[in-house]
Amino acid sequence: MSGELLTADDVHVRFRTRGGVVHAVEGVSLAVKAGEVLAVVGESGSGKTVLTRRLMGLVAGGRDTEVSGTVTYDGTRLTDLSGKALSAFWGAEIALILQDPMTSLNPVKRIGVQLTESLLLHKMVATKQEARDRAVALLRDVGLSEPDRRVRQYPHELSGGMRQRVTIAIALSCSPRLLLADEPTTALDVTVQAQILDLLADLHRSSDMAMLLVTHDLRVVRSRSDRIAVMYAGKIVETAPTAALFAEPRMPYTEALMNAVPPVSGPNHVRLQVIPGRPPDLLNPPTGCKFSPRCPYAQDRCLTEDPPLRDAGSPVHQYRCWYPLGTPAWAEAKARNVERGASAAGTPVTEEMVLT
Amino acid sequence: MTATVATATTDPPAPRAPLGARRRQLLRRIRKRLLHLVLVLLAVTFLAFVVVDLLPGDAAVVVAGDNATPEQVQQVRETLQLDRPLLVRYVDWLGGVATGDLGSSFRTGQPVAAALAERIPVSFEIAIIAQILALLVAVPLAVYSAYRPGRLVDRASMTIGFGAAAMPQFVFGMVLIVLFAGGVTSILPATGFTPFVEDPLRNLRSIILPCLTLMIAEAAVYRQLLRSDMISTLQEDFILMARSKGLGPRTILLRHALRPSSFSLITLSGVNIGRLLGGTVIVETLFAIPGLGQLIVQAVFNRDYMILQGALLFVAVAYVVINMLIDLLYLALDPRVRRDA
Ligand SMILES: Nc1ncnc2c1ncn2[C@@H]1O[C@H](COP(=O)(O)OP(=O)(O)O)[C@@H](O)[C@H]1O
Ligand SMILES: [Mg+2]
Repeated sequence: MSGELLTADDVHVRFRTRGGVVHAVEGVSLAVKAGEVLAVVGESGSGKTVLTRRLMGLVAGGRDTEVSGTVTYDGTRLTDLSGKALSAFWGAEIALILQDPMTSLNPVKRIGVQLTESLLLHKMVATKQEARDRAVALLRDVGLSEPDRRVRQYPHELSGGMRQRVTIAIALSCSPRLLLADEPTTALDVTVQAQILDLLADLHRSSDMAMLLVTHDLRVVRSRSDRIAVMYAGKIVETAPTAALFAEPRMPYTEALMNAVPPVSGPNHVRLQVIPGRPPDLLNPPTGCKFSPRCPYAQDRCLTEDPPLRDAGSPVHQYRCWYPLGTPAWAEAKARNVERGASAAGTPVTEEMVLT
Repeated sequence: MTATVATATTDPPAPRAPLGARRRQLLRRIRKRLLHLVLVLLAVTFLAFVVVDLLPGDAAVVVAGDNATPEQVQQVRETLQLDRPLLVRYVDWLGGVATGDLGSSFRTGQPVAAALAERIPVSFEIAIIAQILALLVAVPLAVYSAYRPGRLVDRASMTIGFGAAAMPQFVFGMVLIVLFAGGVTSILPATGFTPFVEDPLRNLRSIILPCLTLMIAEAAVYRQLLRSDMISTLQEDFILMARSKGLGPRTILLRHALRPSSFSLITLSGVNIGRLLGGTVIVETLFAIPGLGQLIVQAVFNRDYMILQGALLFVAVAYVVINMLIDLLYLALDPRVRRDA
């Protein structure tokens, strides 16, 4: 398994809640190679955050949390480690960036302290003075103006974009080999979003760090990822190299995600399609294919049998679907649903909706 | 990380606070508090004057004694100048206060300032030590309970705390007396008070039981309050972020979670110190401690409004000063307050 930095094998996370068991992550297997960017894309509620935290070990089994499957980082079975042993990897080998920079920094601690505590903890520096100098340099690296003043400031004195730069500086302070970025720009203004993504791309390019970039927006990762894993209802429903996924999506959900956003290039007046229906109820997931209640091509089989992960020509492109896009079976399914005006699940289907 | 990325920030730079702005802000806050204090003092002392006046009987009756004839009482009343109208007496008293003269007790003739000087250190010592004990017990228990909610330490400390808080103070005090000052286990004095300057060791021994009696219910409330604030802080993203840096539970609990969780605890503790400074009648009576509480109660029984007013003046000033200190403490603990203040 050379080149693979992080592998997850059949990872499950279930939460026991008052309302029942939430199937947040249902058998995810994935691999992140050293130095690559793997994007995890899916609507909100599809389990991306829980998966990310489980990969790191921040979500662990407990009274209300049931976990199974294995996660291996550079030859170490993280899922076998105690909390204390795990924390030796955190910050030093694997780092995390959260969605909302307004809440992910401690409001009562100076920026500088929040940076230096990582450096000192992981022995990246020998003295406090060295740590302070390094903190200033790190802030400069993430493009913050006046870094030597910033280290003395508190988070509330910075804007959202600046704070996210700070959390990136903290995450990268100990030169981790894997960065897990959980929707790092979702909470930011559109103009700042691009700046932060470009910053991450630049930082990634100039180091040999691998990155798991989580987003709900396919647009964001088209030019910024090597591979994409599309997640739906706790499962990976399609995974492929970025170019292949955009060229030949197989899973109707991937297609729906693509149509749900305006194309990056091309005419701007293309009508936006909203994915019809609601994300699945993870308390009572539908039987069969989880996307079938919303899929315009769904047939009877989709409602009862959960499709396995299958190769699309090569093992690097895999998908879960009984009627993959572009195949004769799909064309037939589509024609049938258009004709009867509804999918097998009863979702209305019109010619316009399936115009791909 | 060695990369240098030259992406310029387009975010506006945060406004730089001019030097001295913080000091000006501080002075403004203190001025506001002082104005507040003057209003509180006027209200409290005037109200006390009116209430004592409305009670049947006056200091003259007490001073003249049980067997005095109405004429004798009237004479005493005139000597004490109690026959003047309420407002005149109040303004007279206020004038005295303004020139630093608190007057003298009607009954004993002791200057009010001297009476207060005897009692205040006693109440002060007990209030502060009880408060420190309560925090010393409550904070570690709360932190650990929040770290492992529902586990043994949490459940045991909650049960004991609720039990202690529900028990009337004098019952708890008597239990302590029986346990530590009665029979074979008599290791502490049951009653009495030795001033610190006379004998520090005996002083400490004499205040242990009163302080324990006072602190137990407070410790229970503090634990509960800090525990729940701490639990909600531990849900915050910045705690997850701190964990993801690899910081251990000790650092996270004490360095990251405790300070942002402590604001309501500090407020409540300040209120309690203020209250305790005014004396604690039950505990002072139970353990025969000459504190402010007893002084105030006796003054009311004796209609000795000079003593009463002096004591109330002190209690109100202490209360406001303590709240001012708490305010400053906030300023030190929470950088966000510094800006919105
Ligand atoms: N601690 C928890 N207890 C119960 N349910 C949870 C918990 N954390 C997440 N979930 C549920 O798991 C599902 C997946 O959540 P999440 O991973 O946050 O989705 P995403 O990040 O893709 O938006 C959601 O339905 C969410 O409500
Ligand atoms: Mg999420």
